[in-house]
Amino acid sequence: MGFTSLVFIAFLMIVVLIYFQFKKNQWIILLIASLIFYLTWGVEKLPFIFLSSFVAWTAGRIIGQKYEENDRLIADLRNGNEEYVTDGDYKQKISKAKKKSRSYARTITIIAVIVLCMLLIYAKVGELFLEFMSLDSKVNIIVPLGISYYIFSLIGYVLDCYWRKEEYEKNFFKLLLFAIYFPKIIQGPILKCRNLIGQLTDVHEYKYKNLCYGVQLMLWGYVKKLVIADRLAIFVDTVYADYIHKSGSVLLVASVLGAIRLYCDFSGCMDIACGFSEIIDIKLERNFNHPFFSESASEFWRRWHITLGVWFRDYIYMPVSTAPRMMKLIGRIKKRSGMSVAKNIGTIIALYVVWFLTGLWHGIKVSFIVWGIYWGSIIAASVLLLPVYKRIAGKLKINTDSHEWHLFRKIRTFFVFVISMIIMIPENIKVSLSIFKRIIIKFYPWELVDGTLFDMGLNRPNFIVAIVFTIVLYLVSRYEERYGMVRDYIASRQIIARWLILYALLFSIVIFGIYGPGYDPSSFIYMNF
Amino acid sequence: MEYKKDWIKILLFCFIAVPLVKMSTIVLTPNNNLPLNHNNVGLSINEFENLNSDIEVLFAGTSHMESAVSPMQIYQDEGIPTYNIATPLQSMIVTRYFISECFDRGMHPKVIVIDVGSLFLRDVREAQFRYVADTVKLDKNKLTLIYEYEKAIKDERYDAADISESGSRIFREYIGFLFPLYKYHSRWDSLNMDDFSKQHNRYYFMQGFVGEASMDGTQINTDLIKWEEQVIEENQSRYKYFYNGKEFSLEKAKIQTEPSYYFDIDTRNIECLKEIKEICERNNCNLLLVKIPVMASPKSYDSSWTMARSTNVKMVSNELDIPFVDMLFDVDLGLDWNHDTFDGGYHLNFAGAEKATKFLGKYLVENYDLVTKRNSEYDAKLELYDKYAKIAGIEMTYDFPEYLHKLNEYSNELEIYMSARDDMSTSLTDEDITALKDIGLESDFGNMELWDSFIAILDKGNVICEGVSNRRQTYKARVGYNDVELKSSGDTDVSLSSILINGREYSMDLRGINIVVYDKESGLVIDRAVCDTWSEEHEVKHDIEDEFNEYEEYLLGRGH
Repeated sequence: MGFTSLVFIAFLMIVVLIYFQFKKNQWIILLIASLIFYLTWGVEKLPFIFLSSFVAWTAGRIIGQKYEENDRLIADLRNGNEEYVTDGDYKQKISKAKKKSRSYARTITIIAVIVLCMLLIYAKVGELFLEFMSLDSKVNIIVPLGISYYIFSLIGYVLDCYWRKEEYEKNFFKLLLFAIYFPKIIQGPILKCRNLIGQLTDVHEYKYKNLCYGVQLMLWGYVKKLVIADRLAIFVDTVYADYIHKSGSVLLVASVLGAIRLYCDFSGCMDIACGFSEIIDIKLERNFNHPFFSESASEFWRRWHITLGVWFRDYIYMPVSTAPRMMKLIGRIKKRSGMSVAKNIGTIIALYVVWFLTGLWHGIKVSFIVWGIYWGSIIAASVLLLPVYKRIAGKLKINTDSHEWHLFRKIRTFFVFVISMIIMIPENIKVSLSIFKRIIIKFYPWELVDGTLFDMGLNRPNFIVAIVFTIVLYLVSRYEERYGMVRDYIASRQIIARWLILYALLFSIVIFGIYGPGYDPSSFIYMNF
Repeated sequence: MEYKKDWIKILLFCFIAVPLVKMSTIVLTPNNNLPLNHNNVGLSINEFENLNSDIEVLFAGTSHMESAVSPMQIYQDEGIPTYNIATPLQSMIVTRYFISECFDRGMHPKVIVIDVGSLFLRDVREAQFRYVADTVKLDKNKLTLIYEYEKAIKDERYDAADISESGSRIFREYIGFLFPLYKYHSRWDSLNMDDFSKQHNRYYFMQGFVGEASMDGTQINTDLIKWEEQVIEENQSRYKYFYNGKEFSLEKAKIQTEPSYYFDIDTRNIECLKEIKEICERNNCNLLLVKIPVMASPKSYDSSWTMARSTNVKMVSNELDIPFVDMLFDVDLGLDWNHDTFDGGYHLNFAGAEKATKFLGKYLVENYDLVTKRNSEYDAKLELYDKYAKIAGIEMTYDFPEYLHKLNEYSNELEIYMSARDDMSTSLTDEDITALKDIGLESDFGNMELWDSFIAILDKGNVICEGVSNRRQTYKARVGYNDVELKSSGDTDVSLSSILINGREYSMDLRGINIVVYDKESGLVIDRAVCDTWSEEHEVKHDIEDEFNEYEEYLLGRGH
C-alpha cells in the first residue's frame, strides 16, 4: 500500500474516522493502523521491526533502570550523610557508583547499537553478499521496509537514553509505535523519540483547522509527487536508460530535471506524511526547507533531508569531534601548527566520517561512497577556502550583497547538487563518468530547442505541464522564503478563494497526475535507501 | 454546533466536487462516437441503451456482423425492427452481457443471431471490453461483465507467484472500469473540440450497422480458405500459395509473423454459449448462429473462415441444438469478392452487406414467427437511411454507364464536375457515350481525338459548361454557392485534371474522366471518382473515405 494508491487514501479516511471516535485509545489505533500498513508490504518484514524495537526498548529500559538505581543510591547516600560535601570517602563512593552505572550503560548501549547496525547491514549488504557467494538464486534476502529510517531513529533513542537526554520508554508497544508510525515509515523523517512519542500517545481532539491544513499539505504533496516528479521521471528514466545514445545536452537536461524530480518525489512524500499527521494533530518535523534556495553546500544540507543531517550531527559529528582521542589529536596539532589548523583538521576529519557514513547509509556501492566523499570535500573546501573566496571577491570588487551574487550562489549550489545526482543515480560509477564525459564532449545546444527532447517519453504538452507546475512550485517556495508559509496566507483568505485553491490542487492531481492502471503506486525513490 | 458546521462544509465541498469530476469524466473518456469505420461503437451502444422500441431480432458478434447486417434495410424490406449490437472483437462474455441487458430492460426479441466468429476469440483484449464498459450504465450486468473480464485476464496474465501483484493491478483495473476518469485522465493532451461537445444520438439511424462504401478486393484468393490444403513457400517479400495447381501470392507485409489461428472452439466460449442459450430459453427467444462470409487466408487473418472451423461449429450447434447457417459455405449470397469487401475480404462493404442483409432478413421471416410492425422510431430514421444508402450506392458503383445513370437519377440534388486528364477517348464505348449523353452532355465524344481535353459542369441536371478541345482548358465560374475552377489538359507534357471547389482540390487527377459530385443539400462533396476510359477495361474508381465520413456526420446532425 503505497502513499499514492487509492487504497491508501481510503485507509487514511478510515483511520481518521476511528481515531477521533476512540479518544482514550488513540495511540493503540495508530499502532494497529501502522501494523496493518506495514503488513501490506509483506508479513515477512514485520519481525525485523519488532526485533529492532525490542532491542532498543530493552536497552533503553536496562540503561534507564540502571541510571534510576544509581540515582536512588546517590540519593540514599545523600540522605544518610549530611556531611557529604566534605566527606572524601562519600564522594568517592558516589563517583564510583556513577562510573559503574555509566560503564554498564555504555556496554548495553554498544551491544544494542551493534545489534541494530547488524540488522541494517544485513539489509544493505545481504544481497551483495549472496551475489558474491553466488547464492542469490537460492536464498532470498528480506529487505524490511524503511529499515534505514527506523533503525536510525532507534539508535538515536538508545544513545539518548545513554546520554540521559531521553527518558526510557516503559511500554514496549509505545516504542514500537514510535518506530513503525506509518506516515514516516517509508521515507522518514528520522525523528527523535522525545519529540514524537509524547504526541503519539497523547489524546488529540479533532480540529477543523488541522483537517484543512493537513488536507492542503497532502494535496500539495500529491501534486509534487504525481504531477511533477512522476512526470519528469518518465523523461529522466528514458534518457538515463539509454544514456549511451544520448547527447550531452539531453543528459544535462535529464540531470537537471532529475534533481527537481528527486526533490519533488522526496519532499512530496514528506508533505503527505506531515499532512496526514497534521490532520490527527501530530506535528512531524520538517525534512525540507526549500533546499534549492541554498547558497552553499552546507546550507543545502541544512535544508535537504534535514532530519538525517541532524541525526548525523548529533550522533556522529558531535561524538567524533568531542571524542577523547580526537581532542588529544587536536591538542597535538595545536601545539605544532596553531589553533586554526587544529580546529580545521578536527572539523574535516569529523566531516569526512559523517559523509562517508551518509554515503553508506544510502547503500553499499562505490558510487554512494564517492557521492559521500564528494559532498564531504565540497563542504570541507568551503570551510577551508572561505578566506580565499573572500579575498578573491574583494579583489574582483564583487558586491556580495547584490541580488545577482546571491542568484549565482544559488545556481552554483544547485549544480553542485546536480553533479552529486549524476554520481549517485546511475547504476555504477562508470556510467556516471560516461555521462559526465558525454555532457562535456557531446553537448549539442540545438537539441534543446529543435524538439529532440519531446521524443524521449514525454511529449510537448506533458513537458509544458511539468514546467508550469515546477514554476508554481518555485513561486510558492519563493513566497515562503520571503514572507512565511503560503498556507497561512491561504488560510487568511475568504472561503471561496480557499476552496478554489483546494479544487485547483485536487483537479491538478486528478487530471495531470501520473497514475491509473499500469502505474506502480509503490515507488518512491528514497524508499530504496 | 461547531462540529456540525464543519461537517456541512466538508459535505458541501464534496458535493461541488462531484459534478466537476463528472464533467471531467465526460470530457476525458473517449466517446467512440465518430462515424469513422468501427469507431462508432459508442453511438451504437448508446442508442441501444436508450432504445425504447421493442425489437424483434438482435444481432450480435464481431466486426464481421457489425459491417454486414443493416437493421434499417431489414426494416425497409421486411418491416421488422431489429438491432445490430455487434462490436469489434466482441467476445462471448460481451455478447452474453448485451443479451442479459436486453431482457433485463424488458425487451422481447424473438430471435438472437450471433456470428460464430466470437466463438474462436481466445485472447482477452482490453479494447473489446472498454468499448462496451465505458459506454453502458452501471448495473448488475455491467459488474458481472467487469468481473468476467478480470477473471479471464487473471488466468491469462498472471501466474501464481504474482498473486499480490495481480491483486493490486486487478483492483486498479476495476477502479478504471467503474470510474473511467481513473483510466482516461491522461487523455488531456489529446483532447479536441469533439470531446467538449457531447455527441448526441438524436439523428443516429444506422441501428448498429457500420457501413463502408469503399471497395478493396485485392489480395483475394478464393481458394486460400482451405488452409489445410495449402502449400506455402516464401521469398523475400511475398508468400506463394499453391492450390489445385494454381499459384497465388500474398505480400509478406500483410501477413502476421506469428499467426494465431485456431480451428477448435475455446471451451470457455462454449460454456458461455450454453449460458446464452439458457437465457434465451428462459425468455422464450430463439437463438440462431450464423457465419458472416469472410474471404481471407488464416495466414494473414486469424478471424478468417475455414471449412475446419465450420465443421467444428456444426458439431457444437448439433450438440447444443442451436441452428447454424454458414453464409459462406452453405449459402450462395452472390458475393463478388472484387467489389463487395472494403479490406481485401476481411469485412463486407455496403454492397456486400446489402446482399447479406437481404438473405438474413428473408431467412428470419421464413423461419421464425416474426410479425411485420411499423415502428415510429424506425420510420423517422428511414429518410436519413435512404439518403445514406443513396450516397453509398453512388460511391459503390464501379460500372461507368451505371454510375452515370445513378448520377442522372439524382441529378436534381447534385452538382457534377468533370475534367479529363491525359486521354479519355481511346476506349470510350458506345454505351459510355450514351450514358454521357443521357446526363445531358452534348459533346461529340465519338469523334474525340487522342489527348483531347474535356471539362463539364452540371448543376441540377443543367449543363453549365461543357467543352472538348485539343488544347488545355480552364474554366472559372460560380455554381450555386461555390466558386469553382476546372482545368483539363491531355497534353502529355503537362497533362492534368483539376477541380477546385472553393479553393480546395478534389480531382483525383488520374488518367481518364475525373468526376467530383457535390450534394447541394448538405453542401458536401460526396464522391471523387475517376474512370480511365483510355484503358479497355475501365471501372470507376472512388476515393471517398473522408467525404463519406463527412456526409455521415452531416446526416447525424453534426457540423454543417
